Amino acid sequence: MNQQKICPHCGAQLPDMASFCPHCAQSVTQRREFRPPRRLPRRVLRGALLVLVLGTLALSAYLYTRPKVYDNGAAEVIYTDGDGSYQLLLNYFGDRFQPMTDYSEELEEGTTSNKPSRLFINHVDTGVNAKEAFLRKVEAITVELLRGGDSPEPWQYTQPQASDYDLEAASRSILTYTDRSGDMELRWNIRMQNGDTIRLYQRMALGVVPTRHFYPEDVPMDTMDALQALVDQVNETITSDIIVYIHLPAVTYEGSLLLEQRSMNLIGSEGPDGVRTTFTGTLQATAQNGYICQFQNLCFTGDGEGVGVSASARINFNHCQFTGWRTGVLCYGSSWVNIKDSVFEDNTVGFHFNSTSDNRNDHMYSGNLFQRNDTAVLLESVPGDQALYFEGTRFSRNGADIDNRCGHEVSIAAAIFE
Amino acid sequence: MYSWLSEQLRTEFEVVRLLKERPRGSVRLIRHNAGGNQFILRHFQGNGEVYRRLLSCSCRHLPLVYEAAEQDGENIVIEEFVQGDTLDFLLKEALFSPQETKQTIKQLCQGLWVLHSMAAVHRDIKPENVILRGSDAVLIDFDAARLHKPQAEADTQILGTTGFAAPEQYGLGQSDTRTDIYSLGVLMNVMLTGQHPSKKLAEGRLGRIIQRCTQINPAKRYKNVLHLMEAL
Repeated sequence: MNQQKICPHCGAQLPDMASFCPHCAQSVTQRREFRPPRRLPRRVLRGALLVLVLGTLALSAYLYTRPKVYDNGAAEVIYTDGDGSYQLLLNYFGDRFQPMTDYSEELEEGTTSNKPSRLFINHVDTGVNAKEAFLRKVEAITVELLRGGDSPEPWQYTQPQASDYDLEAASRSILTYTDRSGDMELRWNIRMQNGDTIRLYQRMALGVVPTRHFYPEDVPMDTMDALQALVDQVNETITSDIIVYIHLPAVTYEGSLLLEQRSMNLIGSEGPDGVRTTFTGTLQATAQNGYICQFQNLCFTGDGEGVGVSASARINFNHCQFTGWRTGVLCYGSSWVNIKDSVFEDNTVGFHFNSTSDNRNDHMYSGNLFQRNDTAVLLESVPGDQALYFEGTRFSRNGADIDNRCGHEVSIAAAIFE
Repeated sequence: MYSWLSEQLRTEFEVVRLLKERPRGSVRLIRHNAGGNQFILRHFQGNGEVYRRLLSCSCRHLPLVYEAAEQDGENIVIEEFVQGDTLDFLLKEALFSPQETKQTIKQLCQGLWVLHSMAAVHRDIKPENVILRGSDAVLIDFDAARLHKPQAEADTQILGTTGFAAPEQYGLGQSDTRTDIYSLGVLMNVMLTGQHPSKKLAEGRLGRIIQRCTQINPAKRYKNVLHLMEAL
């Protein structure tokens, strides 16, 4: 036998395999004490499981029923409750299905503008306007400015409310801002009666369009030659991304004026004796570059022949007067002309629309007076299919009020015929 | 090792008395000459692997195995002499209360858990093989024990004690740890009623536990001794 092990108790030699020393009757091996693992009683486990399941259910119920916040940082949220799903969105314009989160606008220097932020609510499944059903569940609606409230001329807003002029919208807030108001971020907060909160956002990047003004005190413009020279000079020296205002003196210009290349704004005036800025010759506007021309406070007085203003440029007339022309205003080519608060009288044709524009503009022809014209309005060709509105426009003693040759839809419900 | 141990036993120990004599082996009480300590000396034929595995472990509900040697199927084992009365002896006087029964069976489960966790099955649980040492029950005699082989279909030898042995020990299937659970069920019933559960089943909840322990189909018994302990 190979003696390979020594008893730690008595020092006797033992076989390597020995676990016991027969000399001193002691164990010479390491022992591990075995104890069965403690099992939790099954009923305890069942109880714990039950508590866990009930806890999970309670947590789920709590999470399901606790007030939720709908906030995705955009102008659209889909809100679902027991009655169905609603699409809530913000839009500056009238399309109640089109959310507008980010929008950019350019404003002229020194001007103020406003825009409504409109809240629309649609049923997701049917697309019908769900504002009434939804508003019954609303506790409160507020708006707040996240940006644009601390600029040199801060953005202003009205608290949201329904408007009779905006029947499609559930609510709206009117934003007022200037070229110095800077960028804006607006948040609508809709608190529901069940505690939920819905947040909608609109952001506007406000650009400022550089503007140049020419006044008679600074630049010669008393005669048609001087005015034409100024117009030509503007055409040659000022690019069309800069808005140009020419503030005209209260004088009568004889002869024709040609506005070509770039657009510009002509602003007439009235002298102390009541004399207004008047053109007795034709104004021909063919300018295609730049912004829409704004013509304000101008009189165009003819001798029964010719065209007061022939426009293939886009022009908005405001507070102008057209008297004694074969045609007061002719809109042709691919232009769009809008006229508000102006007077057409004693013309063969007051306003002649004969254009194929892709660039439609304002359809509201409101506050005008057409009187003693053979034909007040001649619609030969009007682009698009949206109606022209003559709200508050008076037609008085014309041979024909509206000669609608092209059959374009016209709204005269709010017009006045005498 | 076997020869060396045999020699040492002759020289260092003396036999106090013969405790049991069986065809397959014997059990003797021996005393160490020098120290006077008493041990149990087992001689038996068969597989002594279970004893060898117990050399390195201790459990208060199993006797300490001090040495185990084998040669040509002959085994010598020196183990702790557990002083106390066997259940067999005690049952001649009186039955056990349900509380005592539960405590004893739970302790036997702890001892069996050691065996079962080393893939061994006792296969001979009966009152004679349980000694009460004070308040501790100690399970003795692993001569019939064998290692459980999952693949084997039936035991090759019929071992165990009639009445306490599970049906699968008679060739109906291979014995596994649930075989011992059957025997524990019978033992529990005997402690409570003095009879085999087929003759008189204990009443109440313990009776239902015994019923489950003694199902013919091992799959319907408790899955292991931990489940039985939990039920108790």
